[in-house]
Amino acid sequence: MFDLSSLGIGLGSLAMLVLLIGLLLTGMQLAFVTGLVALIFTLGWFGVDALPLVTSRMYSFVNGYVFLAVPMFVLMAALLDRSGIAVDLFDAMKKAARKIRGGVAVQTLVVAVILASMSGVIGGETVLLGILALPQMLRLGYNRKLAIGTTCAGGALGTMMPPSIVLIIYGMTASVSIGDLFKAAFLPAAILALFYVAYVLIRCWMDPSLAPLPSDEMQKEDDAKQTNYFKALFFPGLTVAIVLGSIYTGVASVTEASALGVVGIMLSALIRGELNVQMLKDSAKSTMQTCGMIMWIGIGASALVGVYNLMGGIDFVESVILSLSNGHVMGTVLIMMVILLILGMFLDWVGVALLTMPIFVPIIVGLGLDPIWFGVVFCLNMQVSFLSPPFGPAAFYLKSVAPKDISLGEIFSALLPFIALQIIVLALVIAFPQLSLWWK
Amino acid sequence: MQSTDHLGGTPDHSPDDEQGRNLLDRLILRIGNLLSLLFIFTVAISFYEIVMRYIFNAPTMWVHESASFIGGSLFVVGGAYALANNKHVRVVLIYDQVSERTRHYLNIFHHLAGLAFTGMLVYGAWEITYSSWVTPFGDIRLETSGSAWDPAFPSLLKAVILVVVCIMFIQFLLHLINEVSRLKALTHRGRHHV
Amino acid sequence: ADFTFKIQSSDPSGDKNYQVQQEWADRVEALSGGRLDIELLPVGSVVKHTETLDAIKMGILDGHVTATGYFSGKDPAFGLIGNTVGAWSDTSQLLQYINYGGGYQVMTDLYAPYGVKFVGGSTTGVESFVSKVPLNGVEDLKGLKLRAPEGLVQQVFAAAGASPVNLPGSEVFTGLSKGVIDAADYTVFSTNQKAGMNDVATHPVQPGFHSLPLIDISVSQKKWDKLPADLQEILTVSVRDFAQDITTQLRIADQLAVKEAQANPEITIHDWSAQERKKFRAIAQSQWEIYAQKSPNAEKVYNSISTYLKENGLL
Ligand code: NA
Ligand code: NA
Repeated sequence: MFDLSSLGIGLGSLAMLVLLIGLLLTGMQLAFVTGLVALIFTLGWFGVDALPLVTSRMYSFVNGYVFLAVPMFVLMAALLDRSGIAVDLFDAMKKAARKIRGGVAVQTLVVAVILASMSGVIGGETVLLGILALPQMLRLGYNRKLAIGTTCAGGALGTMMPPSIVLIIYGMTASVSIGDLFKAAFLPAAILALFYVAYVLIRCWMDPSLAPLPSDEMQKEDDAKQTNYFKALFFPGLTVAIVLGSIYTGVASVTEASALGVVGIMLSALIRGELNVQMLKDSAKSTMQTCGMIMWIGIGASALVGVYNLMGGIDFVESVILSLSNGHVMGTVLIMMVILLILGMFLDWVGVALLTMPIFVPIIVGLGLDPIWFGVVFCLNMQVSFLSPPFGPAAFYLKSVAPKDISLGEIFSALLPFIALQIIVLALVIAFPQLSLWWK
Repeated sequence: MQSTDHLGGTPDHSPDDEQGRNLLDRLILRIGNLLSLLFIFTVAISFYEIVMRYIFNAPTMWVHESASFIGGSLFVVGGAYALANNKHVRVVLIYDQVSERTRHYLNIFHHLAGLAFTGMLVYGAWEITYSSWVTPFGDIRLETSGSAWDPAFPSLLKAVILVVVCIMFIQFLLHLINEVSRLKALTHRGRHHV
Repeated sequence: ADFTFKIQSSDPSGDKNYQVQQEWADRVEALSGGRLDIELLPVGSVVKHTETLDAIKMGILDGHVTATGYFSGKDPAFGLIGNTVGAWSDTSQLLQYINYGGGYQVMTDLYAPYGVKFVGGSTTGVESFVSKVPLNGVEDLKGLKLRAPEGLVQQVFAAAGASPVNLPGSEVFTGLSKGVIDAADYTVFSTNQKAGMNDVATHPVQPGFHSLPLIDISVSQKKWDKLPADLQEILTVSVRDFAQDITTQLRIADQLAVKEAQANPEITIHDWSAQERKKFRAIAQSQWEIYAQKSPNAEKVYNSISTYLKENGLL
């Protein structure tokens, strides 16, 4: 058997990247590509005895308590979809939104920010918006790409706006205060959301056909429908209050708060007379579906990271960065950004955090930069990673609930302008660290 | 030819895929649907924990670990579930552009790669399961979590992984056989038409 | 280098602990004239912290620097020796037991069946106890919702009337700030202070009364056997020095951090009286015997430690 380790870490890294991209392009399932590459390198580099490395990482990955929040939020969204709550909520907001060009898109972003301050993960939120907002915009005849992009980018805000699982893991890895990270991330998150809103409004102002106002007929139809505002706003309000309240008043951890959210939705559906066994069964089924898909992608990426670390990837990347930047501060930061953006195209954020932060944070601290600021910068990078192809979790989450005729390719191309906005905000926070450190 | 569901596999077979293409797949989907109800059970026990902690000031010691174990097991099972109805995500940049015949060849390659993938996983899962079920002295003792409650969840979760990757290996094998026969049928049809 | 050892730490690379471990790794390379190269890997970079023992056994890793208590689920003996709550008042007592009081042989025997060679033991220091509410004695622990890691610690707190909650390390900070828990067994004062734990839980007990973990450096027996005698000796001696180095460095860091916290009007440091500490130790010791019955190895650990304590007048 050919001994891959004779390649050395430099060529080995290159071979790994080429194999990864090659297999991805054949259309093989992403989860199996990363997992298979991990196994091939484990076998070829370390031999048969090392193969349990991959299953050991698989075990550790699925065993993480924090990930339980993902199925909870997915379940919450699935139940919401099957009850009439979501439709009522958006119907009730329609009157306010229909006066503005792009009103529903702006509304989607407002809802996204509210959801983001309740949840610390992106999955459930993207799914929720994909069910709530996307069909609404498509029904009104919004430009598909604008509608898709708004939904996806808005959903990804879940980990930018505190609370955030990305910041928590960063804080654990870099050994800095998670409370400080939350404070530092707030303003950049708000700026990012405002950029999205401004982008939507400007594009709709330049080209009104992107976001048609509802026709008189539709308006009349709506007016005739007689929305029961109490019914429409009370139950979502109650659910939001339960989730927000439980996180901010300190009744529960993020995972438990998400469980409370599910209970809240169930109660609302029960009171509305919509709760039934079939609804529960269907929601659970779709949760199984979505989680199986997402978690196996995580398993594959996590396995790959473990093998690469064992191959000596940590030292290799560190030496490459330092030799490329020649110790220049801004140069080093920029190289790190490029690496994060590229890794973010192929791996999940947990993998990227575990792979890079042990190398980057000591270098950052050594250069005299603030690790809290760097945490926010990392978090912004992961915002890009959620949207960037070919591995863009937010796109996958949306795809799992979007109408069948929306392809993954269409989603990714819709996300390009939003990635540009994210990179602009990223550049702003790098150029003006005060944006994250003003409170210090 | 229209390609619709990019998340699923080959567009021309998608109705089969939804239901599972063979007996094993259909069985996995049925069992998976049943097991998915455990997500709701997890919600229920997490809610119970919050109530006990805040209203009765008596936090449980079992909810947290149970929820993690159930969730973790379901994530693993979800892999076989999504394989059964062909819902694992792919990058379809090229995949969607090629001819039906080429796509059959690509699928055969994917199934072979899947066999290699799960085959190696079976070996790895066997190793970690064995060492969590059998002590170095040769006694059977299930590895526990080490907490005050000390359930055997670590060893059980490792066993779940072993069982699921074995099932996935068989799934890939059956899919491979199925794909080869479809390719043969296509070649046969092609010969008659030309 | 003639020999390369890939050793995974149970600490993240940003931690003080990890930096001191890295200095140890560099020192080994220097002492061996470059013949022995230790590649230190941060926690979780290859396998989860509870899986390193298996990983060494299977030949994935060559060694680990870790808290022995993490393997409580494999054998309760690791839980008992890994953090013998109530046995040691300071780091030197634990190190003396490990290096000169029979602990070395116990650890060697415990690890041998896994194909793992125990090179030497260390510790971090007496951990501070993180708390949101003022705690001035054992009585205040009643009904306290606290987070404790796996092993004997949880059981002791339960016996003291507290409600131990099982929370992963990553949820401790939010758990405290959101009030899911009132207190936590986390780590040494300086690290807690740096992580902002004392800002959300402003009543730390320092020095703590509850925890002095055993940190072990161990390597694959197969790889150990291949080393020439001089390198084996270098490794063993370097670990003995590492123990002095890390405990001293952490003590210095703790002293500085305590000063910083004292200057902060928000934070109140509580120091338990000798009498209260004694009470807690008595509760802890009552649990050893119960814990010892969990496995034959745990029984051996119990006998070894209690014999040592009696002979040295520490009981
Ligand atoms: Na959030
Ligand atoms: Na990406």
